[in-house]
Amino acid sequence: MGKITKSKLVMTEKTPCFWVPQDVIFFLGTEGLIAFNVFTRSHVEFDAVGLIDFLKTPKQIAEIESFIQNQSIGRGVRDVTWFSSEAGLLTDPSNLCRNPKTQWLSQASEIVQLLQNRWILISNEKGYRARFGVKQNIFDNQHFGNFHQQLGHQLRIVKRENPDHWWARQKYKDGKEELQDNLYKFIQYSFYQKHFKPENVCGKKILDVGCGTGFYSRHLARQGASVTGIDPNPEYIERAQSVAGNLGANFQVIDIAAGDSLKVLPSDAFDFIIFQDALMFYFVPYGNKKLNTRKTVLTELKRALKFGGILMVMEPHGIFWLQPWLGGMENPFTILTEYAFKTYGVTPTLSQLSEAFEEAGLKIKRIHEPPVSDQAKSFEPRGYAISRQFPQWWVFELVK
Amino acid sequence: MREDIIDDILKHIKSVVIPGSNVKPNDMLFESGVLDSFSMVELISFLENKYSIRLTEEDLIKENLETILKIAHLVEKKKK
Repeated sequence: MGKITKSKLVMTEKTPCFWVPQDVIFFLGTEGLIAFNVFTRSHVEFDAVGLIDFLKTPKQIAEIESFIQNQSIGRGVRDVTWFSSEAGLLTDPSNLCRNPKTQWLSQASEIVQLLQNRWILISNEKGYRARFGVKQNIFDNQHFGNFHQQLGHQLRIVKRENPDHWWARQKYKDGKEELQDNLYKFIQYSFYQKHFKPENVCGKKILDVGCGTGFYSRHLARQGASVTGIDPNPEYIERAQSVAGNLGANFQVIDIAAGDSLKVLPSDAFDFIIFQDALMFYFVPYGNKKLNTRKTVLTELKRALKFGGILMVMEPHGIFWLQPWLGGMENPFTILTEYAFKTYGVTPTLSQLSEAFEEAGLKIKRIHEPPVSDQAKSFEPRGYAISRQFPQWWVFELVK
Repeated sequence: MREDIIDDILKHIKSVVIPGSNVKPNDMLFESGVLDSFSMVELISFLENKYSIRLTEEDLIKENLETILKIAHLVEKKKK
């Protein structure tokens, strides 16, 4: 095809212009330069550096296609985006496929289409911005949705998986008695091992709120504590009971989120209460149904706590969890795109947490940002590198 | 063909989702609260099994699933 001359490009107001939004940054990939839209978390690899230079100013579609057709631009572009959190909640959340098998695209129309699909090129600023918001349901393709919704869409629509089964699998090995070799084990469990030793907890009464199948309840019981595990899922409780045997742990089905259901707990009874990876759902729910029981839940847990006892709330870090893992192993970095007004993230801010604790009459005694154990280095080097620098959980020791 | 699909969808909703529902083929399913995301996924699996089709991510968008008529149209199109 011959060159399209300027006279053939009819420049009217109706012909849309395309441009690279300011949300896009570039960095070196394995074979080319990667364009990364940091807000949509989508990536396209370019082996077409001249094209990037050409796109520095807004262009009409015919101009872009003409440029691609008439220049020697290299292999072209390829899609290097995938929903990387599909592999687990504590895996690389950058959505960058680091070993892509995708084909390089060299046809002008294909390239332009891919750049639009991955939000590296936009033609309508207002329409693009309007997409940042919650989905009405998982079939809503007009909004990007938050992390919960994107994960739900990926599991239910793309993979057709049961999210409950997926959740258990990404955390536990097949038998559900052992943690996977991932950051749950190397940060969360490591923290528990360090802070709940026999000398601290032997003979103490501990309440494990949202105990699931009882993994941590059993750990605490093995240290000599008398543990009560509660969870809304009867299947989990049945399993927890059958596995615990005579360990000194008992389990109860309680619909924790209902709030008032916690009134069955005794008052001033527990030396420690463990509440982990759950409070965030009282700020941003997993589904579209809001939970309005945050204050009741925290107040009831405070009531059940002994004076001098500790309510330990462990939550995914409100700043660093789900931030992209970028850079090399020796000098990892991330890019923070949101904190106070999250459209993708689902964690409360520090002040929101502090307010929730204060509302329930709880005082913050200490905050931990648990480190990653060195064991992680051989199993998950990138996760190890990033979480050494950027904590993935924060833990609040609360008292009455 | 389309009538059969509509019948199957109505039967599924009335027997599995909301017993005794008087939902109509043109009713807006999400807005009226007849189906939530979870029950829609169940309905989709039911139709895929029944008609031996596989609906893709591109098929499963709100505008294709808003009413029973639209769902029937989608299934019919995939069946061809």
